[in-house]
Amino acid sequence: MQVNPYEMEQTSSEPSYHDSFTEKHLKELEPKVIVSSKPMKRKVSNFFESYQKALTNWLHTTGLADLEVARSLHRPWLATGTTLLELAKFHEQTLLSLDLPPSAETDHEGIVVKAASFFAKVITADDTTANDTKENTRSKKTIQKLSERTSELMASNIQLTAKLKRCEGAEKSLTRSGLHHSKSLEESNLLREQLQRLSRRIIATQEDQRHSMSRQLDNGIAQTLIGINIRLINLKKVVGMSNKNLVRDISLTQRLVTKSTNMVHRFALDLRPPVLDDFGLIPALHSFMKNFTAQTGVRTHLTTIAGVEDLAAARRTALFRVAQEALTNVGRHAGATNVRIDIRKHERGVCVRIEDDGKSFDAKPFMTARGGKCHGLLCMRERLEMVGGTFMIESAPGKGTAVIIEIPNGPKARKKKSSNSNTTTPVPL
Amino acid sequence: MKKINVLLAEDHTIVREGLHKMLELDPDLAVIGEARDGRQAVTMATELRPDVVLMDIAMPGLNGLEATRQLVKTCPDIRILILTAHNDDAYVQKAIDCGASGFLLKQTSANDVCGAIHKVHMGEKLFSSSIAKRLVRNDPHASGRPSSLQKTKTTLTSREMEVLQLIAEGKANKETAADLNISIKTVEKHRSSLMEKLNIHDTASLTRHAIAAGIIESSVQITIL
Repeated sequence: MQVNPYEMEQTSSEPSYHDSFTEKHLKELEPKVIVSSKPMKRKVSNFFESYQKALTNWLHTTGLADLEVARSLHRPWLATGTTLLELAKFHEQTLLSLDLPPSAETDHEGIVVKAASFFAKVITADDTTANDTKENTRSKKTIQKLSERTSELMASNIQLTAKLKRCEGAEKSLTRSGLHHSKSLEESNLLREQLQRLSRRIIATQEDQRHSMSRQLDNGIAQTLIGINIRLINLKKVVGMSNKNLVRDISLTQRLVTKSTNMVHRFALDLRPPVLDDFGLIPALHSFMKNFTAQTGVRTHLTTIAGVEDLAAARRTALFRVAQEALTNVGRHAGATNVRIDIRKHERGVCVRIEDDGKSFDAKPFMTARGGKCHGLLCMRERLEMVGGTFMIESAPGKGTAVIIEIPNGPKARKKKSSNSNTTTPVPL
Repeated sequence: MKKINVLLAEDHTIVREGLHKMLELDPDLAVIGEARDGRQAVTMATELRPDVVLMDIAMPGLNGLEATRQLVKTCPDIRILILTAHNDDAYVQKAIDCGASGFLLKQTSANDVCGAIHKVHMGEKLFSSSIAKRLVRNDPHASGRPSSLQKTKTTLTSREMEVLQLIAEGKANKETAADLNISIKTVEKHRSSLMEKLNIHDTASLTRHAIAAGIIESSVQITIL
């Protein structure tokens, strides 16, 4: 739906606007218009007012009848003594003041052309009234050309104005969307930080719980089972050889108890190996790797600097857990024959390389995806970032996979951002 | 014959009481005291001068290993026998370093406690060559069973058994060939034959089988720089 702006003009819904406009432009014109007296000034002013009205009215009519009005303005114009250029300027300003909407661009040209013919009628002498001299014809032609040129200029001027308005609008909406983007970026950053804090707290809590569960299993349930087994041994000794059936039954029960004890112990070990707390990282890795080889048949090699034990407890825990996860992945997916853990000194701490000779894989989707299968890898990275470390995976066809870890040994974790400083929760040990 | 005086150091009541009863059943043993933690064990042993201390490791206050180290220093005549649920080689090594005379695992060696006390009292050292081996055999996750050694032995020729061991130890075909003084081709032939017989088709599974059957021990090649 298109609103014709000229209809509003006709009902003069905004008379004050146009009045002020006219006055303003008359003022502008003043120095150029040679007027010596007040009546003359009023004459000019009156002329422009009637020109404006007539033009506006004419633009709203479809017929040509009203061109008579334009024709009739020719003489009053001459009487004002204003120049052609001044009139053209006023004409253009009148058109611009009509405030054409940008969407009606195609119509503008038609309107401008229509207005131009009005202008031409005013400035050219009426066919019937003018003297048909050669001089007149020549000047008529010049005027015709001039008016065409003027209307062309006016058309492009109006188009430019419309474009400018559109540009302003676009600029505004760009600013708005820019603001919107930066706001949503801020929000997503905040959410990301919250999520990170949460996942770190989960990891820390999990480690804490594993620790206490492991202790309870080993100290509570396993010891009770061991106590039961000792009682059964004593019972067997007391019964002696007198009751062979009872001794056999006790032996069977003992076997069940021993099986349960081993299961509980194994479970406690998986939760958190006591060796890690009692003797440190190297014995814990050694123990884990030995069991790993027994379970998977993948041969293990450990090369390490003794200084790795100097890392803070939380960092040793992180390193142990990541190595554990990496080895478990090798056992599950790599189809490897050998896996090597190489711990070396690094300029800021230690560098750990866990390398297998199995199948390669593309780690990228696993490192960026959320949830699902990749949980282990994300968890490894999160654990390391918690202690200021880094984590990356190198994998190429025929070359197996290498997990490369760097852990700083400074007193404080290397911070990614100052805002993250209070999110680094130490892993309880 | 003079009885062997034993001090029990164990924080779990049910285990301690059970052990007390067990030792009483042996006419040659006398329980002269019960300690509930490492510190108490050191104090009581220094005072009571038992022949043997049966010592747990995980105890509150002072752990059994540290208590052992202190006691060995002050009372070198007392023999200390560690009885623990910790089945890692690191604990065995530490027990040896602290001067203990023996190391028993509660889970598997409870039957042998009295015998072990006698042996330690006689001056014998009792350290299991590999606790981990026992752990593996008791591991419900491991595919092999101790009986699988017998099965493997009857299935494979002695040459194949040798080749299996060398593969499981991580030797390449070339090294195996050199070790057994046969050609690489022959090694390959034995290898594919034994894999066929065992229905195992990769090196890792072969290694796992060899460990489970007790042909080799699970080990880690460890280098500390």
